[in-house]
Amino acid sequence: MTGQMYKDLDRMMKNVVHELGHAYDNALGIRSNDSDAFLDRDVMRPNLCDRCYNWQQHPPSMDANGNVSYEKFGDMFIAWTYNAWNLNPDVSKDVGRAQAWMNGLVHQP
Amino acid sequence: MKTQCRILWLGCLVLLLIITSCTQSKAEVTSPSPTLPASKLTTKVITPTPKLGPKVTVRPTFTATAVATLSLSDGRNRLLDLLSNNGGCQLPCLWGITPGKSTNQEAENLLIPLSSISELTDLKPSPGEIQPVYSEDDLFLSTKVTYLYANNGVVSSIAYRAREERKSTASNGEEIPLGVFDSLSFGKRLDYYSLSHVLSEQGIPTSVLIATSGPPAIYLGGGGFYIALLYPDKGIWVNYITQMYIVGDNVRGRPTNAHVEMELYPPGDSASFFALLDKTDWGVKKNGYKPLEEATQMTVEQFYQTFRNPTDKWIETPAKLWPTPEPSGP
Repeated sequence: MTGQMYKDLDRMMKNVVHELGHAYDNALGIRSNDSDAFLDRDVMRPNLCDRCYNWQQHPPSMDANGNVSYEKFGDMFIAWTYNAWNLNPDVSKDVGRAQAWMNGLVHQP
Repeated sequence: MKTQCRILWLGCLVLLLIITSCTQSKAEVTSPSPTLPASKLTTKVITPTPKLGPKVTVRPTFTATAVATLSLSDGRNRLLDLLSNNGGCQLPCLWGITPGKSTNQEAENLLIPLSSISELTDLKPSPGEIQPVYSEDDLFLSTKVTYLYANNGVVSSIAYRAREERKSTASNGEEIPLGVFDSLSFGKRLDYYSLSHVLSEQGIPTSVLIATSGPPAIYLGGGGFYIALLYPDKGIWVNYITQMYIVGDNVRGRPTNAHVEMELYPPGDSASFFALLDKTDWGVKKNGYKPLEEATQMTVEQFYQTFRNPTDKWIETPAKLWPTPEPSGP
C-alpha cells in the first residue's frame, strides 16, 4: 500500500482502487507483466505535482518500484475505473492502446 | 455514467477478489521485461518495441514511399548527427520539421530512415511518433518525437523528449529503466538542447519556472529537479529534468547533462502557444512549479547570464518552499 497516512477521502478511494488493481492482477495471473508495453508511456492523467497523488498512486518518481509493471497496472486500473486517462493530445495513441488493452482485460457486465 | 457503472462493478468484484487475490503475491512477479539489445532491432518501419512486443498491436502505417530505412549503424549515426545539429535548423524547428510549415509527409520522410533504431514508429494517423534509441554498453539514450498534424497535413506541434537510462533490477527482479543524470556522453550528445545552448541561441526567456520533489529525497535515478523555460512568442517550451539533492536547508539540481523535453509550436502567436501548451501535461504540472524569482534568489536576467555559457553551477532553492503537499481532489 503506497498511500498510508493520507486523510483525503478521494486519495484513499483511488488508493483502494489501485490496490484492487493489484488484487485483480493477481487473480488473473499477473497480467501486469503484459503492461510493460505501457511502462514508459504517459497514459495516465498526470498528478498535480510530484508528491500529489490525484491520479497516479505509485508514479515513477516515488521510488524505483514506480517503474515496474505491476505498479503501472495498479494506476492504469484507476484510469480505467474512472475513465480518467491522459488528455494530452501528444499521447492520444498510447492512451487508445492502453484503453483497448484494459477493456480487453477487464470483463465488463 | 460509464464511470459510475465501473465503480459499481468494482464493488461486486471486491467480494470475488477477497477470495482469490491472496493466492499469488507480487513477489511472484519474476519475468523481467525484455531489454532493448540494439542488435535485435530490425529495419522494418513498424518495429515492435521489445516493451510493446507482440502484446500491443500497432496499426501498420506504412504507405509506399521512396524513403528508405537506414541500416542499424547508419541509423545510429544519423541520430547522433540530428542531435548534434538539430537537422540544421533552429528551434522551434526540430530535425528539419517546422511547426506551421512542414507537412506530415515531409516529417515522415525525415523520420522513417530512423525507424531501424526506433522502439516504435507509428507515423499515421496523427499524432506521428517515433522513438529512436542510441544504446551503448548499458546506457540507452532514448529519444521520442511526436508531432500533431491537421487535415491539411501541416504539422501543428512537435513534442520532443531525450533522456539517458540504465537498466536496473527492481526488488522483485523486474528489469526497470533508471534515469542517469550524470552522463557526460549524454550531455555532449545533447549539447544542442542543453540549457546553455538554448539560452545562447534563443535569448532571455519570457519566464523560468522551477519545481522540485523534495524533501524528502527521492531515489537516485528519479530526477526530481525541474527547470522550465518559456518562449511564448517563439513557440518554445523546454523542461529540464535533473537529479535533486538535499543539502542542508536547500534542495538543488544542476542543469548539466539534464534530460530534456520540449513542446514546439508555430512562432508568433503567444495566445495560441499557451492554449496549446495547456492541453499537454504541462497544463496540470505547472501547478507544481514556482517562478524562478520566488524559488531562488535569481532574476531571469541573472539566470540567463549565469547559464548561457556551459557551467557546472547548481540551482538552489530553500527546502521550506517545497513542503509535502496537502492531498487534493482531482
